[in-house]
Amino acid sequence: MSEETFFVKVVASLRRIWGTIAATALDWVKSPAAVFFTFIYPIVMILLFGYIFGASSGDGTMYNLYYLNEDVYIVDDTAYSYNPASLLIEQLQDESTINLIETNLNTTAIAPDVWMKSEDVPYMFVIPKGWSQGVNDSKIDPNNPRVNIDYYYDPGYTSAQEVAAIIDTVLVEMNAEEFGIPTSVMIDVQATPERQGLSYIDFYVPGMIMVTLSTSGMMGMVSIVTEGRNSGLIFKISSSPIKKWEWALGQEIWQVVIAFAISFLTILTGCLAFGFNLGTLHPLMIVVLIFGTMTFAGLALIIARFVKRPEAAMAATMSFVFPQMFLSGTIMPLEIMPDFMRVIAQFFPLYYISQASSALQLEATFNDAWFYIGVVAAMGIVFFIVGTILSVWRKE
Amino acid sequence: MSEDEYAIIIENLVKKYDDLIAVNSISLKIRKGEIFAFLGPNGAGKTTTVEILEGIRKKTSGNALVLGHDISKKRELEAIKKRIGTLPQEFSTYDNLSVIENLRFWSRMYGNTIPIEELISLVKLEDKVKDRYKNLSGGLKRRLGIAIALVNDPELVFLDEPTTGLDPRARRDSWAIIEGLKDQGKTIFLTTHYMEEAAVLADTVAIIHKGEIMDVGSPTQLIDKYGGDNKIIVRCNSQEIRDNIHSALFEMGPLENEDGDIVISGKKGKISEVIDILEKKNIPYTDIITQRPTLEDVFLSLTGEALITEVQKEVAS
Repeated sequence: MSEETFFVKVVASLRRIWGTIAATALDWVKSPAAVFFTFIYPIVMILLFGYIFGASSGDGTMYNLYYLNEDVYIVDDTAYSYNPASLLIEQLQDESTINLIETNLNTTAIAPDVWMKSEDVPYMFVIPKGWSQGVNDSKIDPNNPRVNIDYYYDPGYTSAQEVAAIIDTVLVEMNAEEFGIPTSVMIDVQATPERQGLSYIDFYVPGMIMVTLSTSGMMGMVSIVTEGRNSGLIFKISSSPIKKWEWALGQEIWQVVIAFAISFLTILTGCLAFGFNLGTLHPLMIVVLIFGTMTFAGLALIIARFVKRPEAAMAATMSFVFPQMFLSGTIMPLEIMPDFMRVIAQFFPLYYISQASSALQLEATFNDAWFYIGVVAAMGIVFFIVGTILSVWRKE
Repeated sequence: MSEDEYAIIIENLVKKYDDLIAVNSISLKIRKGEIFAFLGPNGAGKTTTVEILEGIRKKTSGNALVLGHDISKKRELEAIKKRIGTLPQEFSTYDNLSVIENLRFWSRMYGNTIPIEELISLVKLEDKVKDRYKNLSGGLKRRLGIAIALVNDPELVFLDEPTTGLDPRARRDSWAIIEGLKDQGKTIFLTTHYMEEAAVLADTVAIIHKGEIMDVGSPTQLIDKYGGDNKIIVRCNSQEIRDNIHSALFEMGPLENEDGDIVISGKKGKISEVIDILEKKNIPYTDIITQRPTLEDVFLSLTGEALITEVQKEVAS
């Protein structure tokens, strides 16, 4: 039998990949339940969390936010000509939903959390001594230790998280607009950045797209693999000439197509329900979307490799997806989480995908975007390769 | 016979799962163009052997050549996959795709393919082309499975338990299709635990039991070798007549009672002698028949165990 030429092999590969995409797509399209839940899920997510965290600022809600400024910083010509602590307070005073109230609490006499409890105060923040100096030192040398403001809150108040998010966005705005330094230098948090001219929802929509893709993408892929294996379809496919990587690539391309459809729907809902500004989306978001989806699909292949039963695989996926979702910084600000949680967040791919998405929207941190896009692209390729290699095609 | 005349040559093939030996050093040669049946009960090692030959399961040791390709070489496995067709025991395809859409998908997996209309006609699914796979009956699903196995016009077709779970009519429809494949010159490797299926379809039968091949030959050869004598079965409709028959035929040899019938194990030609005796003594029997031994008897003789004979039961019912 004559050896096939390279060109013939490429054409055969493309034919098989296309066949996989077409069959998977058709099987999905002809399943009304699958179509319905794939599309209803992002709509529910964007509406639910959008109203919870993003839309309340326009309904006249006003939060009483107490603060204590222990920082003393004298502006002189040798340092920067502004005081970060004062600037933060001014910015917060400008927030329409915040009623800023200063307190002269003596923290050596009574701890802030004890005082809050006695005064029935749900949340407050403290600017510690040396904070402004620390911020300016960080600008001179990013290797200097990071400095924090301390946010205290009563977990029983659901608004505490929204207030935390507002403080965070103001801080990030200051980072980006006033100091021109990356978020990570000033505070040890990573959250949805905001700058003038953009509303919370403008950052929230891209973040939610990624969150939705992480869940629907992973669960969709795990379902295809485990059910295909359970029914025998995958083993039948494996007895045909298609190669494992061709099948996996076909599936991942289909997941990318679904990702674009979900993104479109999320954006549309964001526009209609919250007035999302379409112009804030950077074209490079497409790259993040593609490699992000490949990352999740590859991860799903790895999970499906080790958990055989469909129901068990779904449970395993959920146990990965949920922590990732809440540690992405999109739904809940990372800064309100304990330090170790913020470290854990960095082990989840969604963290980097969210960072890339956020950085793309902020001109001052745009250079960071390339780094995060690089990380996301690398993850997408690595997870695809590892997931493909680990996929079970032969019976064991 | 040169090696070119064999579609499959298996040498000392072994498959172990920890302490369990699923396939125990089997060796076989399957001629091109024949229907070869692997006959044995569930768990005998039939499917494991087939899956090793198809390249979807790893062997432990030994080797096999499939259409001249060595199954232990990855590149050759790819060549094998292009030249064989498979109908797995647990066959499945895309649930929501119609018959024609599924065939289109599988056609794309291969290069040179048979026109889809031809395949549909071959398995007689013309009326079902737009029906979704999940809505087909078990028999129709299997027929689609056979069509899919033929999509690349393979030289060798593996059919793993192609009629399991089908009603007798659907089973016979499938047999007709399989016989048609032989007429096209294809080699068929069939696994089954139905002895009737092997007897009707196969040119060569290998009896496999607990991972070992007990013997190989044509159904006739195996029956002649292991099946024992013909049986004469005398039927009657009362206990009194049965007793009379016993008394009359007592000297002919060992008599057995099976479901109210009297069974005489004897040599060919004895039936005329039995009829003579019963008519001379004016004993009113209902029926008298000769039953040739079957592959069931062969299996029983070789293994000491009975095969599951669901076809027999279904036909009888």
